[in-house]
Parts: sequence; C-alpha cells; structure tokens
Amino acid sequence: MNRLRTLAALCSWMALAGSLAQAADETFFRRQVAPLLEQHCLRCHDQKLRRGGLSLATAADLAAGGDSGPTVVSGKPSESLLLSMVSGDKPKMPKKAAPLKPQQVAVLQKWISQGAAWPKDLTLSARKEPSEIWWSLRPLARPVVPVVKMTDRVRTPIDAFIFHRLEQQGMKPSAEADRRTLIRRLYFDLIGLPPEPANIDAFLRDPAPDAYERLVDRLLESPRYGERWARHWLDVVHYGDTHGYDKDKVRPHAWPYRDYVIRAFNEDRPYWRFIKEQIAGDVFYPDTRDGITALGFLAAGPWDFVGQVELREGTLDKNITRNLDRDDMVATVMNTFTSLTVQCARCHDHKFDPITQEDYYSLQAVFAAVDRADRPYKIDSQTDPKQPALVYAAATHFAPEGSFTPTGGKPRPIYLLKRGSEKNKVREVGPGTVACLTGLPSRFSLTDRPEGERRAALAHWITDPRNPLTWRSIVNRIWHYHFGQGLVDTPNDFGRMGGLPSHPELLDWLAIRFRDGGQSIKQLHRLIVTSSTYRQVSRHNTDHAQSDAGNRFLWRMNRRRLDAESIRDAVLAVSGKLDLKMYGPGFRTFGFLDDHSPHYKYEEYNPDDPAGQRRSIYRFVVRSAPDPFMETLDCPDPSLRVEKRNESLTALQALALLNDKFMLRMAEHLAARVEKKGGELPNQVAATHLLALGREPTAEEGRLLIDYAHKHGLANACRLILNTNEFSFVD
Amino acid sequence: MTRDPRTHAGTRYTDRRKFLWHFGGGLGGIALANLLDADGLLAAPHFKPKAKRVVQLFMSGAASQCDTFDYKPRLVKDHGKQWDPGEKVELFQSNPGQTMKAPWKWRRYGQCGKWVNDCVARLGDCVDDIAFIHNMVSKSNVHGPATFLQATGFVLPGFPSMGAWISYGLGRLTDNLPAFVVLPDPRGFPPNGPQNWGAAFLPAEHQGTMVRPSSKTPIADLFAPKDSFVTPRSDADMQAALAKLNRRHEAERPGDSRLDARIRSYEMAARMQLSAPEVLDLAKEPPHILRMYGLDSLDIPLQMGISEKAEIQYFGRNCLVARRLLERGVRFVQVWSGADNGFPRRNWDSHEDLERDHWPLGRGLAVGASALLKDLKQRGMLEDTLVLWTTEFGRMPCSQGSKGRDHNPFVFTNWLAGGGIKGGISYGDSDEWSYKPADPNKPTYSYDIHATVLHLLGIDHEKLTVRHNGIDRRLTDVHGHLIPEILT
Repeated sequence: MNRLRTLAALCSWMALAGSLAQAADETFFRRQVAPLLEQHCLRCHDQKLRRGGLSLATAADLAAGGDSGPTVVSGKPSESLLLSMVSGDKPKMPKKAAPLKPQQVAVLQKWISQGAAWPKDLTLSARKEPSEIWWSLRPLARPVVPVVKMTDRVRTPIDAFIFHRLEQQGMKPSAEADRRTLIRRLYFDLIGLPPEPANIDAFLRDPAPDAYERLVDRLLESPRYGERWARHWLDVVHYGDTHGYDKDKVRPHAWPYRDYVIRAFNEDRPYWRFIKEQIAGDVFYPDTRDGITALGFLAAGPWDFVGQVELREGTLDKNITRNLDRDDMVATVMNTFTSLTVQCARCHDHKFDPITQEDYYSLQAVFAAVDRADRPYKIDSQTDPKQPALVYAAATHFAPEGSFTPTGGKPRPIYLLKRGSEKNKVREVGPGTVACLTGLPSRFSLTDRPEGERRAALAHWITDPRNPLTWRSIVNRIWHYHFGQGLVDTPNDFGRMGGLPSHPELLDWLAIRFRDGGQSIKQLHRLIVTSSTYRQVSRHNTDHAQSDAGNRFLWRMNRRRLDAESIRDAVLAVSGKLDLKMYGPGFRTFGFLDDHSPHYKYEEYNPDDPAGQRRSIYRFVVRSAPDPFMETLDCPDPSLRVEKRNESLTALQALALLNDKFMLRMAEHLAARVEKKGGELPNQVAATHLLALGREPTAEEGRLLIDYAHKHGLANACRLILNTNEFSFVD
Repeated sequence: MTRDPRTHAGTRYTDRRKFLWHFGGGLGGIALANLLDADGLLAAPHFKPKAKRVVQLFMSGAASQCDTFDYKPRLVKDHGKQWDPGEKVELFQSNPGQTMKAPWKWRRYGQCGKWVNDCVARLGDCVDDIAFIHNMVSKSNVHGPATFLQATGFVLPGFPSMGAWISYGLGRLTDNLPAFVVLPDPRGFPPNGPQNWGAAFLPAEHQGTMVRPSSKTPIADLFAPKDSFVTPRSDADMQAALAKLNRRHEAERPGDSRLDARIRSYEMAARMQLSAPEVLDLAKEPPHILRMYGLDSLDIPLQMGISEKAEIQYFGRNCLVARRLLERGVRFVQVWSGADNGFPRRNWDSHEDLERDHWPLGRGLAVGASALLKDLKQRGMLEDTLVLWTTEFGRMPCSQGSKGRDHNPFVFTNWLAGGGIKGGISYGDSDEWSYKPADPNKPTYSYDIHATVLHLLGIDHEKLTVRHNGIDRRLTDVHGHLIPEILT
C-alpha cells in the first residue's frame, strides 16, 4: 500500500514530502499503536460494547470521546485521558488485566505527541491472546521436527511427524508397498492415467536406488501432470462452460482460464503469483496473457443470465442478482485461498467464526466494479489483431447486452444489508477483508483509487507471509488429494464448523516450508510422495482399525476409488484411443440446439467422434444439464465449490459402466488393440488384463476370463475387465 | 476414526455417512451398515410418520392461481378497468395493465364448496381431499431461482432437491428401484434442467433418476444398446464372472466395505433391469384405468408446442407411471408439466396468451392429477401418499399485452392431498385481487411446505442436516414452520 500511496504522491515534491511524513505516521500507527489498542483496549471499547461510552475502533470514535470526555488531545500527551488511564502506579485501565508495560505507554505517548494520526477508513477490532484464538487464525509457528524410534523408516520430516503420532498412539506404520502397486498409485495420483505395461516393466527393473524419486520427477515433468491437478483446482473454483440457471447459455470463451490453470501447474507457478494472477492479474501483470486469462477464476462460477440481462435496471430483483453474483466471487476467493466461510456473514455476523457482516460487505466492495464477461487478452502469435483472443473473466469494460452494462471501472456502491436484504441498506461500506488476523489490517484505504487496486489489496492481504490461512490452506489441499483426506478434513472450512487438524504441527511445518521455500507446488508433491508415509501399503490392520478406522493417523495408505475423469481417461488410455492433444475449446459430449433455453442432448453423443477422445479436463462442462455418465460417477455439480468429492457406489453407476455406449465402444477398441498384436486367445486375455489392471491374471483368473472370452468374444471380456473393482480402485 | 469432541445435532448421523463415503477402507471387523443398505440416515423417525411416499406435481413456467384455484369476484367485477392496487408495482417484463378475470367460468365443488375454474374442472371431484394454500410467496421473480426455491429450498444452484433429501433421510422402500424418480415433460427440461433434481452435496445415489417413458431408452444405460456386441447371455455370464473376480479381489483386501458395496451395486443393477421395464409397461393397465388418465391410446406422438391432447397424454401418462412407481416402492416421484420457457410455448409461462395456453395445460393437469388422486384413493394408497402440487410463482391479476399475464412472485397457490393432510380446506387467503397475501405479515413460503412435507414423513426439518462448506445445511435453510392448520 505504501508503494501505491507513494506513486500517487509523485505529482509534486511538496505533496511528496507531506505525503511521506503522513505515510510514516500511518505506518507507526499501524505497526505499533493499532496492535496495542486492539490487544488491550478494544475488547471493551469496540463499536459493539462501547464501555464507558467509548469506542476506540475508528478515528471518528476517538474524536467523539466517551462518557468522561475527550480521550486524546492531539500533540499533548499529558492532557490526554487515554494516557492517564493507562499510566501511573495503579493504572485504571486495562480493567481486570495486567497494566501496560512502560514501553507500551511510551508508544501511546509518542503517537499522541506526534498528532495522534489515524489512517482514514481504518477500523480496529479486539485482538485476543494466542491461546484464545481459533487454531487456523493463529500465526504460523515453526514446530520442531520430532524424534522418533522408527528412524529407519523416516525418509522425510513428514514421516517424523506422522510416525511420532503413531508411536504416541501405540501404532506402527504399515509396510512399504511393492513397486507394481507404487507405480500405479503414483501414475493415477500425479497424472491421472494408468501406467503402460512398458512403464511398469522399466520401473520394476530399474536397479538405481533413486528409481522411485526419478519416476516421481518424470511424472511431475509430464504435461499430463498439469491436466490432472488443474482438474482438482477447477473443482474448487466451480468452473463451467455454461452460465447455469434458466437459459443456460454457453460460455464459448471460458476455456482459456482452464488452459491457464493447466499451464500454471505444469510451469509450477509460484503460489503467490498464482494467487495474484487470479485475483488481480490485470493490475499486477497487465501485459501478459496469464495476467488476463487467470481472471477467469473470478468468473468461473454460475451467472444468472435472466437476472443480469433481462431484469430491468433499478428493480429490486436486479440488485439481488448483483448481490448474489458478488457473493459468489467473494466466497470463491475466500474459500479457495483462505478456507474461510465468509459467505455465512451475508445476512448476519458469522455464527461461529470471527467474521462480521461489515467484513463480509467490505469484501463485496472489493468486487464492486467487476462483472463476468468476455475480455480480450494478448497472445504472442496473434494472427488477427482485429479479432482478439477472448477469455470469460472478471471485466469492467465490455459490450452491453440488454440491461447488462459495464461499470467502466466505477465501483457500484456497496451497503451493509440488514439480514442480507437489498431492501434494508444500513450504511455504505468500503473495500476490505476480514479483521480476524493478527497484524493484518482489514480495511483498504483506497478512496478515489482505480478499482483494480481493491482487488490488488486483497491479493496482497492473502499473499502476505503473515497470513497463516493461505499457507495452511494450500498445503492441506494438496495433502488431501494425495491421501484422499486432508490433515484438516474440511479443506474449504478452517472455522469452528470445520474439522480440526489431525497433525497440527505437521500442517504448520509444511505451511512454513512451502511459504518460505519458493512456494513450489511441485516441490510439495515431491516432499509428500517420496515420504515413507505415502509409500505404505493400503492393507487393513484389525488392531489399528479398532482405534482408528478412519485412518486419521495414517497407519496405512488409503485405497482410492478413481474419480469420474480418471475412469474415463483410463478407459480411453487402455483402449488405445486417448488423444493427448492439449488446450483449446472443450469437446462436447452432447448434441446442441441453441434456443431461448439451449438444449444439451447427451443421447446424441457419439463415442467414436475423435474430438471426444481427449482427456476429460477438456470436456465442455454444462451446468444445468450435467453429463449423465460423469455425474453418475460422482463428478460434482459445477455450481458447487467442491473441496472434496463425494464417493458413492450405486446401481446406476454399475449400469453406466456396464451399458453406456462410451464404455461399450471402448471395450471393443481395447479388444481390437489387443487382437491386432495377434497371438492366441489366452495371450490376448493376459495382455488385456495387463493393460487395464497393470498385472497379468493369476492362473485362476486367467481360466475364468479365457473361458468367458471363448464363449462371448474378447470385446465382452474387455467389458468384464473394465467393470472389475480392481479397475476402479487403486491400492 | 477420531470423534470430534464437539457435539452437534446431526453429528452422529453425519459421521455415520461420512464414515461410509470417505473411510470405507478401514472398517475392520466392525459390523456396520453397508452403503447399499436400504435404510436411510435416520435410524428412527423423529415423529410417527403419516406418509411414506410423496409425489410432487410441478408446473413449470408458473401456473396462474387466479385462473385455476384462487377465485376472486373482484377480478370479475373490475374486468377491463385499469388495475390499481394503490401502490407501485414492479413487474418482470411489463407495466400493470387492465384487471383481467379468468377467461372461463368458476363453479363450486364438493362438500366444502370450493370454487374451481372450468380450466381445471376435473379436479373439482377431488377438492374434499385437498388442502389449498393461497398465500404462497416466492423470493424471486425469475424462473430459474424461483424454480430452485421450490425444488431445493434455495434460490441459488448447488443444493439438493427435496426428493434427494428425503431419499437421504429415509432411504429406499425397495431394492429394485431408486428412491427418487423424476418424470420430466417429454418436451424437455424445466428452467435449471436436471439440477432441479440433483443431489448436490449429498451422495449421488440420492439424485433423481430420470425416467422418460416416451423415450426409446426410458432409463439411460439400463441395458446395452440392442445393436451392441452384448447379448442377454453374455451379460448374464458376465455378471457371474464379475462377481467371482470381485469377490476374489475383495478377499485379498479385507476391511474395505466399499468393495463389497460395489459388488452389491451390480446385483442391484441386475434387479433394476428386471423391475424397471415392468413398471413402465402401461399396456398392463386395464382400459378403464387408461381412460381415467386420459390415455385412449398408448401411441403418443411428440410435439413441441401446447395442445389439449398433448397435455392430457403427456401429463396423464406421467401420472400413471408415477402411481406404478409409488406402488412398487419408489419413495419420491417428481412429475413435471411443462418444459423450458422457449417458443413455441411449452410450459405455463403465459405472458402472451393465457387463454390459448392455460386452457390445454389446465385440462391436462386436471385429467392427470384427478386420475392420480382417485386411483391412489381406490387402492388405499392415498392414506400414506402425500401429493404436492406446486409451481415456481403465480401470475398477476392484471393483463400483460391484452391477453397474457406477467409473473406474480407476491402470491400463488400450492395444494396438498393425501397422507396426513386435512382435505376440503383453503388455508392462507390472498388479497381481493390475488395479488398479495391477505395478511402481508403471514405469507407461506416453500420452506413451510417443505417443513410440513418432512414432518408428515416423520422428519423434523431442523434435524435433517448435512455439513457442507462450514454450514449445517438443511432443506429449509434457516426458515420453515410447520402448517398445523392443514394437518389431520
């Protein structure tokens, strides 16, 4: 913020000098005075309680004084009530608490004597002792890596933390899985595809002691990696290729954001930059492709076409539509990056977490000037400058459609709404964020500044090293996808309604290491998957299951059921049909009829259309009418911000995997692939088994399959193999 | 698994579910209910249930209350005069026009003497079984959000449908069919599409299973396509071989109930393959039943627009299929009349010409719904089957253009009949124009309807919760009051 303020002051040297002095005063206030007031005074003297008629929350409150008169006389500490209350032999304040230390009193004295400056728009709130603060809001503290007995199994500090906890519980880690299991696990986890028989063979034969680590590196370097992990990210941000609601129109330019996410993962974009690009890339990196395409993040969620385009300006429903639209942006940003459920404070102060309605609407004010619309961006190989590339993103300038008109960068006024109702405006609110983090100012002083600075300020707040939520949130998310369960099992909610961390020290250790170690997500993967913890077998242990059936302590690896995309991609891969073409507009698994309300006709899908044989990340995602095959396999509703996927096992799933035309055609292609290599039926069956499941069948399985294939043909046998539990689960 | 020491209503249930979804891998020798068990979340109902199953009749596009069930002499009297309720009126598309009476006659029916319009005259026979609610209010004037509100209890997308909640809470009554079945209008989906019957954050098994009796494949993927390499023989042999392979695989991986659950899901799929075609085979119904539902022929062509014949056939057929599904243990059936808001009109959104569109739609509704009510009654099923008629909002008492009506989110009508409902009553009046509730301080919201439906099924609407992204979500959000006046 200092940088912005300084830029603004460059107009004249006079202004510069004045401004710098003011900036210095404000910095002094923010760094030294504000924390002191927040920790020792605000608990009683905030805007709610106003003990003695006094609030010390804002400059205006200070000026207004309390029941005993003026609190501070600017420039005159000795005449200021505030100082006399907290100093002397037996200070009257703070009540029922230890008196201020002399150096703290001196800070107040200095502040008053310098004129008692108070930055405009800065609102203070009570700050609690660390032990009173909810775990996720406490500052990150570097834990000591514990010493464990099982030193021979410790490969990384992760193991030390996990094994330490197991030892405390009287448990032991499970044995290490064999290489055949590990390679299948790693492939699905890191790139979302099964290993080819040749990959398995090479890994099994690799004599090098670091064979495993090199396999990990190879997978992380594969472009398939970004495709896999971008899918996780798109779940969280609820990406879709249509608007949703009634009249679910297509978004033809949503995909450049999806491509951005793939690229960012593959290029291992430092996390701070990944955040800044997605919230305010147009401010930080205006001349880059990713600075603009990343803004698709803010626009990823649903959008009410009728409310935005057809409802008339000035109506109540119009205001409700816009309110809910901003609500989606606010919730997406804060759930995704900080795991706070701020949206609970839209109608009332958060019932469980220290988030006020004022905080919430100050977050709405951050997005008060942006809408979701197509926005041009530059690509290096631009062919036609008159037809710029477009991305559906947060935008302030676009061609109006009906009553959907751009703000031109002028923020719409945002009001605190009683009970969240547009009929009950309480007062106008400026941009800001939640106030529950120690040492991080929550209101942005940006009067008359360009709207982008609001989003930039929020990005600064999120990426501030002192913000403990950001770093805990991302390492927990990554952990969740590797183990199927986060250290905190509610990745979008670190509040009181969320889960508690199973290994709080490990979570903080990972968060600090990530924050201070280049913020590389690939490094984090490497750290996790090379651990002994990750390499355990997924086998059951009756004793341990008695006390920890949910495997919170990680005494084994969790067996994973493949998600919808992994099943679809694996089926394409083993049948030899997977097209690895990257990027670009999504392929459609439906026939399309544009209309007043467009029709998405999945029955018209042709599984032999080569366009549809790309990886599922490139699938065109319809909000109102989800792809029935994918939905049945628990592919989530793209209107939901999905922190973790449901895992259900239903008869409809069985029917989809048995009878869907995609599955049947791919079974035929798999059969043809194997038959092309020639050989006798038993060999063909063995080859199919190896392709699909990563191992040859046992003698008994072989007999059964060969017998079946003999009677009904290889395609039917392929259908059988693709329907096995072993195909859907990874040990 | 570690237990969160904090207690909370519903935690026990949530944990049990969570257990099954996410940690199925570690259940050891502990005997636990399986994922595929028919029982629902609630080990025991909160109250003694009066209904076991529900059929929801949903009029897509906003059915007019003041042309069907909400009789207002004032509209007849003031017909043709500029309509002026004495306040500024904010409409969706238009400005208030002239007061407009229903284009057809009103008559009284039943012992209760309920006024019913000729447009839905057939339902006059059933009024003594019905409780009408005339002071319904919506929170949105836009089809998408308002349809969501009725279907899921929220104006935003991403929430489970009422049927999904009920399936989640009560489980299945049969192992052969899904708990929640949806019968869309054959012309297409209502606003928001299948999201109206989605499971959102509930497990996928609770989503509405779409059944389209008019389609070549009424249930998607129930069978392999006829022209595929799969034969009944290869299919049956495959099921047997698959079970063997899967049991072997499972034996090597003890303690993971999901593996067993998946094997059983294939067994249930096989049972569905046997049961479902039978349910849809309407030719098994005797001619007098078919006639009752308006089905002179089962050869029903598809057209996109509205016609009296099409409405009777489409809605009648879906009502008859609904009855057959309910009979065979389906817990919740959602029947749609009307598709999206496109042109030619194919739903109740009669902005242009109410007489042209509402007459055939009303006839279709009345034939199908009255047949369903009478048929359930003669089979003794109306006692424990709840019938709910709804739409996303109402229509204005004034004209739009000269022949249409604009949206009215301020007042509309719902009605209920069957299990636990007091028949022959009208609850919650609208004002003299059918513009707003007569008592503006006591409107009825979908929350209250949902709370009442759950109550009749034995569920306390405040206790059926699932924690999602930090909030204990329920069908009724933070609202909902039981309506005791309409209960027996």
